[in-house]
Amino acid sequence: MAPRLLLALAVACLAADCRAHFVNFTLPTLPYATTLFEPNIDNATMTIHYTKHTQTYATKLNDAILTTCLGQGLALTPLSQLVQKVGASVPCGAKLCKAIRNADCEKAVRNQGGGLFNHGLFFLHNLAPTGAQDYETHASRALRDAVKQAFGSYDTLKANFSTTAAGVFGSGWAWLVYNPATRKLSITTTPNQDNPMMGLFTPRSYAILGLDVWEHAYYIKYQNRRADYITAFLNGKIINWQGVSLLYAKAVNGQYPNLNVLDLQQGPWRVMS
Amino acid sequence: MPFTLPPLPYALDALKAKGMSKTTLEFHFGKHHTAYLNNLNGQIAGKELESLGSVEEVMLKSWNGGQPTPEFNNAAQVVNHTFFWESMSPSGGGKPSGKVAEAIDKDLGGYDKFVEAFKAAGATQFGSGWAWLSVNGQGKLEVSKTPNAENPWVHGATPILTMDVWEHAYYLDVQNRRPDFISNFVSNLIDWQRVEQRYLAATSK
Repeated sequence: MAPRLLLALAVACLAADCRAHFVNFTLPTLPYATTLFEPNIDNATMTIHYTKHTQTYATKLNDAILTTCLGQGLALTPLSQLVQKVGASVPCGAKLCKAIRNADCEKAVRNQGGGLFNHGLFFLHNLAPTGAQDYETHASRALRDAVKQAFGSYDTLKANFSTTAAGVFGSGWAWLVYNPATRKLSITTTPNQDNPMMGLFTPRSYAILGLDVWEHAYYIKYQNRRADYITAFLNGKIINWQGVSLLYAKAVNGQYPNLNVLDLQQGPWRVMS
Repeated sequence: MPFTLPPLPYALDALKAKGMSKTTLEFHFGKHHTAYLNNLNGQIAGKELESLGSVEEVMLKSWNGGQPTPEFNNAAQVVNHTFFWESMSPSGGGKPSGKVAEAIDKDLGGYDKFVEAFKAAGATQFGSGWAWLSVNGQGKLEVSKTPNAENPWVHGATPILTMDVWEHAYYLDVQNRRPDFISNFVSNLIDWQRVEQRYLAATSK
């Protein structure tokens, strides 16, 4: 598509559902106050983490799609599809080619697109008001059964998740994922802003709960004490188990690859209001 | 024998006037750097690595030709951070002079080009890592960036200057504004006298 037409399309993308789906990706207003998770996650961190770090991923992704990625046919690609294309191969002629052929474009999609997806999941699907949710009453039966099957108990899930998150060296994420290949839950990590759904990973898996362990996620309140931050996340009753259950259901029924993490209508905050 | 950390070359508040707060150094040196050392000592206790003469040797051995063993992250971070403290000074900043300035002109196209390259290295190291000015195998200066604990030593180069761009290096002072941290480091913190000494040592062999 001609660059001018693309630009016009992107600029004209003003309708709410359009903005959430593809360029220009727009962060929704956070559907809760940034003070909501005190004292587990502090106000300053919530504010800077969403309005600066996450917004910067969106800004840089939008810019990359329209510049570095021009000619790659990515302008109308939803975020979840962009994430899946990273590291993926597609048939082209008699062989397999990289899904994103320009290396600079792929790097931008990996880092900025991954960053946007991961943070969208975390802020809009994984967090719930302190005290508003607990696992026993807000996680679906299906999810609780899957946890029992994979880990034996919720306590073991928490212990394993905690150890895993503490062990990430450098920047990255700890994830509770659904593995479509085995139909089971497991815990995994990714470096930087990689996401388990990226084509880099075979087999792919679908993240239903994530914890950001980049230092920016906890440094203002916890400094070097990442373990305390992890404990606060796991035991502070701030995990949105309804949201995690919704993601689990989508992962099981095949809808996860089309998930629009930035669309509040698709997330738990609509359910909760 | 367990390794120990050399003391910080200056007081914890000595860089405050140059833009790096006392609180940052309290955590960065007192917690992060100290934890790397303590964790390393724990990892090597009772092992062959413990008998090596220096943390540098442990670092090089545990790099293991690019398939690093678990000790590498801690050993390299111990070395990297000591080198970082010694790259800064309470009277730092300004421009280089002497032989290293000549080399910057010759090998990198001048101070302004060095600044541009070094700032870009720090800004574009995605996630955690370091920016470096090193003497390479051909005796020429080069700017580079590395992720996490990696450094030019394990690739056979000789660093003469480093800047930590892990978020813990700057988050308390400037939060997400890494470029501001980088600008301040380049303008106000670099110990060019030390860098010159290192350059001369690296090029005299």
